[in-house]
Amino acid sequence: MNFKQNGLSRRTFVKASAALGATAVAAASGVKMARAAPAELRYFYRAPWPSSEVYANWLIDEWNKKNGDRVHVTGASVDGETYKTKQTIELSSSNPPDLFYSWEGGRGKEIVDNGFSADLTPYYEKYGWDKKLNPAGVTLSVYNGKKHFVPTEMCASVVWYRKDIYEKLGLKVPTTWDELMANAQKGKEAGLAAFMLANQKKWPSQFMWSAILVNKHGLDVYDGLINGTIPWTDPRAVDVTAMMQKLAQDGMFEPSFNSIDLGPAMVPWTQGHGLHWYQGSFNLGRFRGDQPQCCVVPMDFFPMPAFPGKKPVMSVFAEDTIMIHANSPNKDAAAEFLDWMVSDAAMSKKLEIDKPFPSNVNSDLSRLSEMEQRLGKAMAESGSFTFMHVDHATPPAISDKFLDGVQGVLAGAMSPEDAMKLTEDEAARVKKS
Amino acid sequence: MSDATLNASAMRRGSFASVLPKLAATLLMLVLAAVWLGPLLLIVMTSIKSNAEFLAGPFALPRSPTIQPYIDVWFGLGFGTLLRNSLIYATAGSALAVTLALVPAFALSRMNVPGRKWIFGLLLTGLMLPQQTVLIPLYDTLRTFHLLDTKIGLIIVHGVYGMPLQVLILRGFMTTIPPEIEKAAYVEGATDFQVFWKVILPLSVPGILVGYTLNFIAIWKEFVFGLVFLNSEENFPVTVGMLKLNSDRYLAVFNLPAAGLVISQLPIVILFILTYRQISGGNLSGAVKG
Amino acid sequence: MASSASRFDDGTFVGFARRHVFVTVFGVAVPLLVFACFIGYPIVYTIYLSFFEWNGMAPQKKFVGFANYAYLLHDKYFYIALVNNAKWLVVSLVFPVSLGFLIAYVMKARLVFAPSLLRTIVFFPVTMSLIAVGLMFLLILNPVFGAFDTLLRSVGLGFLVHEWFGDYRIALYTLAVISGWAFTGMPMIFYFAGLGDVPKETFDAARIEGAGHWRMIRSVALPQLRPVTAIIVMLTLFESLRAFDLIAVLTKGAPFGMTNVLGYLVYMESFWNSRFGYGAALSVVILVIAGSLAALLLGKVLKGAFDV
Repeated sequence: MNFKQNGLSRRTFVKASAALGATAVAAASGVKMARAAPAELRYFYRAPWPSSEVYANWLIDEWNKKNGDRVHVTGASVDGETYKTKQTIELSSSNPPDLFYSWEGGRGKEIVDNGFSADLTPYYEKYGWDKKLNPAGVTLSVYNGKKHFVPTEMCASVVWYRKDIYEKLGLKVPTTWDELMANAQKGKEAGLAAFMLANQKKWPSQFMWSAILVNKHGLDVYDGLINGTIPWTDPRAVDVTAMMQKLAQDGMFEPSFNSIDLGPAMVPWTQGHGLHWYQGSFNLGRFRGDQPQCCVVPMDFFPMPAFPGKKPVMSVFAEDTIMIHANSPNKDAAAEFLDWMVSDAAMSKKLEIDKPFPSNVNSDLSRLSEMEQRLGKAMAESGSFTFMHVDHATPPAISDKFLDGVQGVLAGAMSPEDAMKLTEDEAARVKKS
Repeated sequence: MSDATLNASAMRRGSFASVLPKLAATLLMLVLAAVWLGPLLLIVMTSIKSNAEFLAGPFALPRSPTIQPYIDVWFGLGFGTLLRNSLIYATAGSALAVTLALVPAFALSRMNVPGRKWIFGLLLTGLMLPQQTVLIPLYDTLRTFHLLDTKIGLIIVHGVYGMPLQVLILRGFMTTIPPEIEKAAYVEGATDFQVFWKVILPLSVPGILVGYTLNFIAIWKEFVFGLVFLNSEENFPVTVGMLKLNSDRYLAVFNLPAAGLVISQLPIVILFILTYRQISGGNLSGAVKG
Repeated sequence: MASSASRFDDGTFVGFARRHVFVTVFGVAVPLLVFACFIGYPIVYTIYLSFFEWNGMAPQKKFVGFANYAYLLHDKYFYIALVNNAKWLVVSLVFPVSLGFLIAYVMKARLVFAPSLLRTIVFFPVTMSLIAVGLMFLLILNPVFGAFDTLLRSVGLGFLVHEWFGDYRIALYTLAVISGWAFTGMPMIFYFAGLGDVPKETFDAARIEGAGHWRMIRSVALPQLRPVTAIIVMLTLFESLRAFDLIAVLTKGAPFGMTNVLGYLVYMESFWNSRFGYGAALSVVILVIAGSLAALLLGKVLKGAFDV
């Protein structure tokens, strides 16, 4: 060891770190600046897309420009999937956000049951929200007879298909499940993935699962599974899982479906390697690519076709829903901000910046492509006779095991019976607590 | 140093026998270098290509290199603020960790503190603890001290959680200092503090540098604490901001996440160039001594 | 061990504290206080919480005694995670630790040209956040356009192509190897530094006896490096039990929970499934495993490596 050198480097080091420390402290203390009088609202949102971020900023800026001296809003966001960690901690903290994004269905119920969500029914009446919001979205907001959230973005799940390939193969838009299967078979024979599937994060496969179950066995059976009145081990649930298994075994899905995510799956889709894709309309953001209107490749949609003797049901659900915290001291101001969020002006701007569909049925869809307008109209007219997919409908613990089960079945590592048993065991565990 | 000696054992047996292992080893190491360098080069290359070009061939050299992805991702994620914050957390957090660890390391290495085994063992539990375990109670603690969503709060957390490893490293380093040096000081009537400040501390600087740098890197990489204890984007470190790149919207465009990756690594590359000699050279050796 | 100040001590803590106020305050009291607030309290709280059922939001927690631990005993996910942790640890000890040692030895013995360049390259990923590492390998190992599969196919090794994250039989190993890739530099520099400290005479003696590299490693380098190995094995053990970031970025436990490790399961159960009591019980198990393995290592295998 060289002692001289050490003495020298110590001085330099101590000086340097003192300087750095001082900078850090100065920078840190500068952040907390006192602000004057107006009511402060904290809006905690989820930003799964860059465009959601841009839109949220616009929304907040516009509000503050007009009302900032009276009610000032600050936003905070994290990406979609890590959102929940923060939400759990934030909601129960002593200084919770006044407005926050929540999932509908099972997760929303947890929040309502724990008393964090204010009853918005009076505000619905005051501002007349149910007159302008999508009826399916309004129905979903009801927990124990009270409305608890405002939907700001609606989605529908449909079968997307490649129009150009349909033409090339001489296929017709199917109206029954059997016709769909016949088309899929032709697609497969032409060397295509009959159905795109991007199941790496394991939630996408449930879209098809719940659509088949509802359309084949009826909405009441599905609701029974969700509410726990019908066990998941019911033969009808096993049957649908086995159908999914059969599709996988027959090679109907994109070959690497268990290891790609939705974004990367756009590559084979745009390259024309897939024929159908049963997915939510939130994918329109992806289908649009950099273009202002859908789509990068020629495509269209049709609803999940009917099974013999059944009327087809389309899944229409809320993708973005906002609650007001029950302990917020400024609920009225928060409701006013909510009213701004669902106003015609803000919703039309949402269409311009962010992806469709706005929950306000009066929003002007004319800037969208013909196909998107058609879908938007179908959603607004679908009424409240509809369903959410499993991961929205059930508490996260149940849907997580359910998704594991379906993924296991698709990978050929689990039997449909075992997958449903796994789900049922978890449902029993959740019910017990 | 034993380098020459080690090699001499092979040299002894004539030239062919000495060249062969060297060639084989070099070949092996070339392969290894490719394994370590390959992915990094690929990412840098991807970051300056257009997406169409990437899809045409991931290995092809960029035909018309562009810095547009860098511009997009820099403004899209606000990298300026993110990088500044991470620098603040890493510099101040490691400074705190080292400061907290110095005297304990001194006590545990140079003095017969009764119960030192227990103290040392207790500090080590801090190394075993999975972060996601402590989030809820730690959140409580920070709330109690009004440190949530503040830079100071996160600095303290990083400092405290860095301390155990620092004690381990510095203690090891300080044990290598010969006892005669401080004995002389004690004979002359020096106090503990004087011995610590004037004798042990100056001799420990190489160890401190090593510890500081390792801690700096660790804080730079961390994201769970930052994610949970901060709300305002103006406080986010790079890692938390970068989580947005892990959404499939970004992952479908290849060049943006790649550019984001490169940007997030730049400051650490600079630190690395400046301090690599310190940590990889003999300075670390004291730290790993028993 | 150094004990130059011990001539005043009477062996009790009070006696020590009276004579060494500075060391007692700043060397014992302050760190222990800080430790108690930010590390000790969370640990105690976690143990406490493990006897309750709590969804993370409700104001009241429900006392359930040992129910969480009882459930854990027949939770399939727990065992999958536990076994995965063991696999992860084995991969980490074999790949980054052994390879790190080998690289360090080869470089120290000047067996390669430009050793410092190689050292720099291998160390670099240590500085990368695992989020960055994860994102990078998501791009590289993607089954549709990933560079790695393209590379394998172009050199005629197409049969080796797998679904690196999708195939439940190999996904965990993919993750562990990626983590090893990012970690190898750490044992490497520790061993490199340690080798520099082995007395020249020790190697000289072995050389005179005609030892080749293999014997040098086995009978000289490794025994001399025991303290270094102790630190590295401990750090590797703790790191592998805490493995979380990569899984959170790359697979989130998919396919169907086969890449869950305990650290990620804690997160899943607590924050995703809103079972904080159960998550706490899992945390306690991690702590107990880490603590007892560390004690075992220090007490038996690596005895004396870190005498305090």
